[in-house]
Amino acid sequence: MQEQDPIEEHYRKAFSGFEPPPPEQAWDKIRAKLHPAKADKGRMSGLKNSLLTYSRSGRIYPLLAVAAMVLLFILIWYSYSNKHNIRGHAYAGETRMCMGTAYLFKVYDKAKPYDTVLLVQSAPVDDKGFYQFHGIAHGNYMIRINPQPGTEVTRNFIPSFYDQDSASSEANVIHIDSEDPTVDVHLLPK
Amino acid sequence: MTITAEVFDQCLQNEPRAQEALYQAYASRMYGLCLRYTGSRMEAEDILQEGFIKVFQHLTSVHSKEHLDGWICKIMINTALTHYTNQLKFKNDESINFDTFDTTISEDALSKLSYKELLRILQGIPAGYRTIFNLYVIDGFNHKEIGEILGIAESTSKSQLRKAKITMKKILTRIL
Repeated sequence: MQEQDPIEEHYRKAFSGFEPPPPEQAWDKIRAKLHPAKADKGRMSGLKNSLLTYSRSGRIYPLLAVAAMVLLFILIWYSYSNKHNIRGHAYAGETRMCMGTAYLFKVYDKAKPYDTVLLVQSAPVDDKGFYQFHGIAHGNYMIRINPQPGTEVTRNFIPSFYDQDSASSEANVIHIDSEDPTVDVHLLPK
Repeated sequence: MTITAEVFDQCLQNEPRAQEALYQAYASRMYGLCLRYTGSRMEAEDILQEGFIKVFQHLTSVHSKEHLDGWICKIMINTALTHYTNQLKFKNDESINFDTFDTTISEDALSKLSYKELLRILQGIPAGYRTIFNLYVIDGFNHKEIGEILGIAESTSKSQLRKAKITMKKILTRIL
């Protein structure tokens, strides 16, 4: 029987269970060649085109993506939590006004009414004299009520700001801070 | 490490997750094989990728899961051999009588070497010597089979193996 060479014997033993860890990116490269369309789709789907959430190799950074989602949620929550509603009734004398339009103006500087008062919202006044503005941010506002043209109210009352003022320069400013205010507007008689 | 019949079937249907499972099951072993047949890690990585692409593209030619081990090994070896086609020159150099060289080396000396050093020695010899050494010593082919695989005479395979061992012994003697 032929004697076994020590080099052969040693190499055979040493490499019989030789299983080094394969290169890290090898599978990604193989997959990209086997499924080119899926590889591209994988890179571009989800939060696609968001450069902040993708590494150079196209792999998503999960923590960064979660952080971005949380930040977005906080921004949305903050933006909604700082919004208010303004509601109230319009009165023509002692009775509630029937039909018309309520206007909400944002006041930046009451001293310069023409340059710094901006219409931000309008709302219908219903047949019970009720109106409501939604999603109003913090700040100073003025409200004006216009009765519906052709109705009996227009014969006896004029469009008026809160509280019973015909001109914006004389109107009362409503400050919106932390609560949803109720503002009843009384029309100014002719 | 093997894969389940279900994974094998899904691989036949070109399912990416199953393909990844198959890759994970064989990657380490095949990377070890590629390192043995090549001269560097980069070449080994290229052959590993090329070999696995061939595996997935021709998987339908495997008759059953039981034949998968040997078939993947053959694909990898063939990929490595193709890679070195131009470098594999097997000459029966008669000008040097290799029979006069002693290829024996003590087992004690060899046992001092780590597998990384052994691999470095193997990667340091010419591609032709390395290929025959791998095929015969580690992968268990006989000289007749090696002759058929490489298209050379049986005697050439034998002489190349002897030259491979002499070259390796020279390197070992320098190291030890």
